[in-house]
Amino acid sequence: MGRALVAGTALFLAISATGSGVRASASSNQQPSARGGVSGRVVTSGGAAVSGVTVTLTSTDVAPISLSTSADGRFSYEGIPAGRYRLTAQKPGFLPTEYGSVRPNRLGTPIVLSAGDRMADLSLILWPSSAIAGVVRDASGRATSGMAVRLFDGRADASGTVEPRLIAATTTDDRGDYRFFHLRDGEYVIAASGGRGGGESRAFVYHPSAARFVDARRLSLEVGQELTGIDVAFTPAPPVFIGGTIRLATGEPASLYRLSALLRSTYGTIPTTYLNVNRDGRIADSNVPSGDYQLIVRADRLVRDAAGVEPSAQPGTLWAQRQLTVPLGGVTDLSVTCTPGITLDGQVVFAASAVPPRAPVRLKLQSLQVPDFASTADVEMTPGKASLFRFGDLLPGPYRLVTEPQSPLPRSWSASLRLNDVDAPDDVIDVPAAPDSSLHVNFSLQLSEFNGRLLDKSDRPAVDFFVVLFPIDPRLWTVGTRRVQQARPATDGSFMVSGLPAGDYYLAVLTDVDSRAMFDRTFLGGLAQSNPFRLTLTPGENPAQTLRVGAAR
Amino acid sequence: MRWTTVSSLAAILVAVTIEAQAVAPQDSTTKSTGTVEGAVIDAVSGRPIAGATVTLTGPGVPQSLAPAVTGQGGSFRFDALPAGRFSLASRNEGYIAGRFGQRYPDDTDLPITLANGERRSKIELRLWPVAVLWGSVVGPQNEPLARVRVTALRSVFSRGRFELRRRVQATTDDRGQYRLSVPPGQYVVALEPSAASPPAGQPAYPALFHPGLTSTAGVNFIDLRGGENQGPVDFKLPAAKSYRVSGRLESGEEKPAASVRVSLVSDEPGAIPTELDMAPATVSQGQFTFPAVFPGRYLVRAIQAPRSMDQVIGRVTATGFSMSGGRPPMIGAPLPPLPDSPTLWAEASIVVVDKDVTGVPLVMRSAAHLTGEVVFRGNQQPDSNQLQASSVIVTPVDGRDTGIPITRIEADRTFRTVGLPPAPYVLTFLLSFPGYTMQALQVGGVDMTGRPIDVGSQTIPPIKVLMTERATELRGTVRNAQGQPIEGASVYIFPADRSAWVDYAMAFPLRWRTARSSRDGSFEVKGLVAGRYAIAAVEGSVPEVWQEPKSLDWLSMTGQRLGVAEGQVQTVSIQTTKWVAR
Repeated sequence: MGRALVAGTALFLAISATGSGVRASASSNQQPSARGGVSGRVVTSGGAAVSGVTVTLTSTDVAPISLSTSADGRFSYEGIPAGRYRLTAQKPGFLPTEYGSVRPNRLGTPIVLSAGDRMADLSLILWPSSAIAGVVRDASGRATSGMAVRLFDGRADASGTVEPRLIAATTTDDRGDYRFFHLRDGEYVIAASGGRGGGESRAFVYHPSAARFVDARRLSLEVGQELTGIDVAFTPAPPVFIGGTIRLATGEPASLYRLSALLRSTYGTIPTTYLNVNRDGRIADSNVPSGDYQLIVRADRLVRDAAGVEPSAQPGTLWAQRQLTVPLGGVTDLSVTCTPGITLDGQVVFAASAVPPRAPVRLKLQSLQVPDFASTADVEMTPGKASLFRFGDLLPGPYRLVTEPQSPLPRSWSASLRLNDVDAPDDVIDVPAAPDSSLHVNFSLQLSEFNGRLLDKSDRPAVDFFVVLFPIDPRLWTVGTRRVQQARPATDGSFMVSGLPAGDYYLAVLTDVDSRAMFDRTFLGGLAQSNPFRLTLTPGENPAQTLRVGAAR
Repeated sequence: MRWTTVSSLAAILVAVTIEAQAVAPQDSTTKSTGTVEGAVIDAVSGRPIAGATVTLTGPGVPQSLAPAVTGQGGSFRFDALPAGRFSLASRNEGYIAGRFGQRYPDDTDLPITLANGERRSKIELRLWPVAVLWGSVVGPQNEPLARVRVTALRSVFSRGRFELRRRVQATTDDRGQYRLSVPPGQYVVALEPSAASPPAGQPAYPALFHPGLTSTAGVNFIDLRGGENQGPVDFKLPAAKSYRVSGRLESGEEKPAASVRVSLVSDEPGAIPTELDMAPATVSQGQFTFPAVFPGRYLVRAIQAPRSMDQVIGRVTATGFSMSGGRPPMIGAPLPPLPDSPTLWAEASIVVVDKDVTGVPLVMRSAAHLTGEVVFRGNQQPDSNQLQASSVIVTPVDGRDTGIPITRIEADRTFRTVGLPPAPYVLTFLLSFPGYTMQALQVGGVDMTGRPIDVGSQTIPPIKVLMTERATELRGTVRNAQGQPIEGASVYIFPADRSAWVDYAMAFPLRWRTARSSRDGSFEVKGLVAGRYAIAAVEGSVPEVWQEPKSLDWLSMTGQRLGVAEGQVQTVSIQTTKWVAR
């Protein structure tokens, strides 16, 4: 993907740090009862006042307070207790914004209010949202109503999986028109599907007339832009037939299993699709767009009793997985054999210092390839002691390790993982095809917290900068990971980063970070090259640091 | 009470049998050599439609028979068909899906009958193009409002009056614009009420009817023909503030539970009944709140019907029977008994002028039950399982959804409904076994067959329902003035007595039937209750709302009279007339 790096107009800055022990919180107020005020104005990026904007003041201590701006765009809060606040604004037709966001999609500046402080004339900037519109036409060029139209994130790595991220879906109206609105600026792809009257063909056609996502035209949408004429020529290639047989390596009849066969195409023709499979293991599906797929067959053992057929409580899932190229002539002699899954043996060590949960914790290994497939294990957590667990019947590939929501372990658990004796990210676990693999999990209830203060050379709060923390180990740079975080210094220069697992991190200070590009490996790789500040975070609160931004290199 | 228009009438009853459709045995001697061919045409312009999908289904037709796609002249053709009765349907983008023999989009269809090796050609399948309603929605400062739900309400004749039912919904875009593709008909465009807490920066508003009314009294009807495009139908939210209406549910001893349903209904004189104005309130700890109500007269109603987890709510509408809640009962399995707790209800009249209306007291009172007995006149008496799997559906005449659970018939053939808030009700009997049809319903010895039962505050005498094994049968032939049998004519059968000219039984009619004549002009109607009837046959175009009094007057005048007695099988001959739209 030759995508331009959105994030960094990054001017890297020299940092000098002092472990001065300054606490970044604003809790050191002398008169906790004295109340302050916050007031200001909401304007468009062109400077015009905007009325009727919902402005919301939030903090961890006080319930959010919402106001509506007056005719001249003004708002005013009175009687606000001291604390750390975020001030956000939203109005239909505009992108949600925050105080201190000088460009769209940027983190704002927290407001630190000491007892009795008044902050006046704060300015919040609203950027207009964008829209994409067009017409879906059939083979004869006629505008077609009732077609399903989808809007995808145009970045092929945006979702962290092999499929593009779906942002919105709509249907063409009687004139064949569709319209997506209230959009952020960014890169998008449009796809139409549905056939006449809906549902006849599974095929997607990507704007302007591509059969595959990777061949679609990327739409670059600017802030406030209305892209029209984004038409789709809906002329899908005729669907083809896939026929074949599923066998089981155990030699049992297929009817003892519940079978499902799914096709996944990596940024290809269609989203994950299930093929028609009968009880005897015959695949017969006449509605598949030709293309390159990954075929995954799942066979779950069933138990039969007087009441009928129920999924077996016994583990017994067999798998088959292969690449499948479906040519224009279709496939008639597909033969796949399901074999037993992989077993992953593991060990949990629960931090000695932590209070153990009263009941066993249910660990769940969720497949990122097969919808609704997960393997679970109940683990007794004893501080300082290793507990064993086993995940069985796994298809090799990516998984996510989670704790069941009802289990007593807080959602904010922290784990460090070693898979086959190699450090692994805790976000995505890649289960290898090797038959006996092992997973070592160190659990800790305490995440790291890191506070600091960013000042300029004259010791004034350096509010115009962004702080990014990310792991030194590039294997941990997965999409959406909590190990990559950003912060903006508040009005007093203080910043806080919390909820990171302990470990070795880089800290970089930048002049601008697009929130959507945070997990971009190229972006992080560039930052890592720029000689950032290194720090080791321990569980719990870490010593506060005062950082001074120097001259740009 | 609000039910003045119907309170003088009384009760109704319908017996319906849930019965597996008999599959016609297939004659193995027939050869599959028949042909059906014809064309799909635009019902408005008369032009052929190319590229339409045509499907033919019926006994003996293989599931795999591929749908035909019409060619340039709209033509289609199915070959190698066995003899039989088939249904022929078509759909195409921009048109309402249609079936053979329809004279308007929602009309009944006609089967295609095919003899051994027969070739039926020139079959004409008419499709109606969709009509379009479009417009925009803006706020008090003319700012476009996005994501507002706009509904096309169709004017539908039901239970003796017109009412407005939701037909198609759309949502406005960022320019406030919407487009609704609808079947031809008469519509009112309305805004669905906003969410209790609308998105930031958007106002809260109640249901609004074009051109901007909070009640259906004086609404703007739009008549749409197929393919017609009408707009702009614009809305501007009034700058007038909306107000909150809130109050308390008060009851004697029992605390009102969370399952209380509180709704607000327009009480403006001349309002047309609609399902849209029934905005539900949020109820919390006996306190109810409607967040956005515009000035006007309203009724606040509360009902708390007893329900246990597996209780199922049944509703009878013009098109059939629907169930909600609980676990849907398996056909043939005994229904759960009803809980013993009372039904509580309350009603209050309010007027919203220029401020919030708070502290509205709703004093919950307990409601009266209907009790009765079902008599089965016949040799094959049902067993207790069959009885307990049979149900009584109680539907208020105004069609609103009250959450009244389904009553079962007990092994001793009696039934007892839950408490029913004062209103006229229709009872529908759904039998779990075949063989019986309803013959009569009496309340305290008075015949109330086909009429609603007016439940008030006083005790209603026990109901007696008579089911018979000897269903009536009426067969006939429709001929034109020249004595030739006519295919596809509509036959209408309805009470001869004008005072019974409202069909309360809807989807399960007792005294109201319509049929279409076959190729040889024949028709057949079974299970009419005993009584005097008017019968008329119409050739060519027909009234779309035949149960309207003005249509009935005409049909009654052109038709003939006929008596039907219990178990009677009779044959009639009717001459068709031509309907002239008036």
